[in-house]
Amino acid sequence: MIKRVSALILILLIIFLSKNLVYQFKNYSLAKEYQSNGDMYQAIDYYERVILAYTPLSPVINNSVDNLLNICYKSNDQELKLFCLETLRSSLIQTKSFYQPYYELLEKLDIDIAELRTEIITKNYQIANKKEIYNQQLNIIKFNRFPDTFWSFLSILALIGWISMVFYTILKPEKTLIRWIVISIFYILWAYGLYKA
Amino acid sequence: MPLLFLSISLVYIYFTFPVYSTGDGGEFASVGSTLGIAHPSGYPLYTQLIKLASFIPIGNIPGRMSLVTVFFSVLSLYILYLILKELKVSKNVSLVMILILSSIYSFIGQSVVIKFYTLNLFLISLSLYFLIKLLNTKEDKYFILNSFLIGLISSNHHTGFFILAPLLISVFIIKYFNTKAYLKGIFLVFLGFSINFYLFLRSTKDYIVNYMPIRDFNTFIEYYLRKNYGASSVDVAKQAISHSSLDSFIQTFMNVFTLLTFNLGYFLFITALVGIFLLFKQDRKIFAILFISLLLYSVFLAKMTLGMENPSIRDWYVQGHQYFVPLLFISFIFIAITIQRILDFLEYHNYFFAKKLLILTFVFIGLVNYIDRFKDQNFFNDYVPYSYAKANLSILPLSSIFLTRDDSIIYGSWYLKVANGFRSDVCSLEFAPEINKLYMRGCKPDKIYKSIFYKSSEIEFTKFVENNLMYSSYSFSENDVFGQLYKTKFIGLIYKVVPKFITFNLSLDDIANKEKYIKTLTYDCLNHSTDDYYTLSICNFSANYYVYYWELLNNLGYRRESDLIMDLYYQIREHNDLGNSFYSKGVKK
Repeated sequence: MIKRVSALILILLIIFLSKNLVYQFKNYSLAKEYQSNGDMYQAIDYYERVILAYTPLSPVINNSVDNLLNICYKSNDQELKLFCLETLRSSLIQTKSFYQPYYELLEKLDIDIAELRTEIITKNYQIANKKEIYNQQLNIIKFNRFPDTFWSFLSILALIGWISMVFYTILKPEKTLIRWIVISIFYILWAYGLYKA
Repeated sequence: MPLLFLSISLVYIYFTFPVYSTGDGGEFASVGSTLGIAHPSGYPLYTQLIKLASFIPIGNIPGRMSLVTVFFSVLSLYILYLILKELKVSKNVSLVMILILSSIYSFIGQSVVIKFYTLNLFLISLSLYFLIKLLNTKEDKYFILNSFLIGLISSNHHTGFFILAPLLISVFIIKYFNTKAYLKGIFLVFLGFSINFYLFLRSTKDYIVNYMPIRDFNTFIEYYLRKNYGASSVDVAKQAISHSSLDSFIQTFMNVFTLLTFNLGYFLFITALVGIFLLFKQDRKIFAILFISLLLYSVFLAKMTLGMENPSIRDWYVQGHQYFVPLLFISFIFIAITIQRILDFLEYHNYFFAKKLLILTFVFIGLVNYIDRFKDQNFFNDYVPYSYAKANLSILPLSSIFLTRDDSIIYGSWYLKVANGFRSDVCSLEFAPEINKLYMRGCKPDKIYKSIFYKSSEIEFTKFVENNLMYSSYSFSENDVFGQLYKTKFIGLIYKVVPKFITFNLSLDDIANKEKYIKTLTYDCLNHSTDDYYTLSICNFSANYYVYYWELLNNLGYRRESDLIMDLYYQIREHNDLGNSFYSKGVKK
């Protein structure tokens, strides 16, 4: 049974990887087409879709990030620039797994978006205190809603650990005392991990 | 067999949404990624499993989460195979049943979205399998395993609880009276139930995406029993049994009949009915538990959720499409029994060719169903919920307030803005018109939003309205709290909130300027391959933008341009016609 479930997980991952590669190539060619036609908002949307189909080490992802950075920083239109930077930042965050791809770039984007928002707000509403607006916006941008990677991962593994162990102990009732000790350890780890994450 | 499961997995993953699914998909994507708390009853088991999937370093977070749904759907199909094996159904018939069930509209529909129904089905089907084993072997372990499963089910979805009835019936049928096993069972129910402890542990965090914090036992009970929606689940179940007329039962029965015949077709439906009779003759113990499960997941569940007269297309798609997946699963056990009996008959009389032909016919039915599913439940290109939420947020000015009401936009805003920081400067609020209440979930925590939006204890809405910084995803009515103070003006996709007694006219530039944000959504609305109720509704609503655009162009004398715009409008409406969707034939015109 364990072998079959593992095989199923592996198959699902391979199919999922292939599906994302299809998305990458399909959306990349559309994005290039929109960019060459000068349709920048659509180009941004389609480069975003390439990034959303993230696979590690993909040159298409790197090119999409570079092309988006080009569109963002070469534009004099503040509205387009804001849309572009926000899109790039949120698309990268959506690819977070046990690590955050393009972590350094995100740090820079946080500051650039805060500055741009401040510039637009102070200009549109004639607010003098730029510093206050900048700090408010940076606080909002920097606010991280993701739980701690290590503790959340460990906690869920522990959950699966104790549930599986209970099933196993019922199905094969041997060395039950040791197994219940292991179940208890997993249980405590699960609860503690949820609290710490 | 591996080839069949491989093919099903391939199609299901292909059919999943590129980002998050409509309905509650955006909510689970945000709650799952932040280990937050979903709508009542909280769904802690599912939330943690999708969080685990989010660690896969491929694709985007919601895309990974949909793998959990596919995984449990495929596992449930495997459990069907094991159940049929216990019932002496041949491997060929079992595989054909798996092929057909996997191609059924509502089964596929729930297998490719970010939602807990396939996990629920897996736990229910596993419980049924252990019950059959218990009846056949009387071994303690199957009773104890079932108890633990009931505990696990209690941390997922309420409809799973129905499985308690067949368990009690099994105990009674086989006269299984074992105090030690009972005590172990009770302990394991509580152990499984303790997964709900998650809700308390995660409520201590202010950063998570949170429907409602659970800080004490009373709040937990209210939340768990879904009292936030008015009547609790227990009251709904009581009402379903006690306050019912014969007419309402007939209505419920008709709705179940419609649902089953839509999904199975008349031939399979009759085959299932025959299967009930055949199982009764074959094995009365197993018949008892499967028949009671069938009743619970059909008429009883429908009495609670789909007992209305003339269900609307939304009722069919939301209630009918989601809740009755276990019913489809159980129906296929009965169908398999009938098919097996027919094949045995043909073999006994040496009609080998007819036997082969019958199996091939069923394979053909499965494959034809799959061809249909490519046209109605194929979400490969369905970026609509994502681009709709993104276009909504993009149109808003910086540091504005955005009132939201429907799930599509609320959960889209949770996912994009709250969880992933797209246009995090916006303060999005949710309005519940049925209780006239405003929730601030998209404007939390206070420590980062308070200094901008509500320096005093409450938001000064009038100030934001006067500064053109208040918008809404819906039009105000006179009855709701905002409608009494302000009015709304459609500006393309969203509404601008303006003081009640001023005249507000849009210029051509105002409306034309929005097109850059809406263009991608329009393209998505013309290129998806689904009849998903929410996708079609979003597209039909967003098409209104082109009516406004057309009106302005037409008034200014731009006839040729306005014709082109109107053409686009008609294309969107035609591609997203709710009248052509699967369940539309169940709606009385």
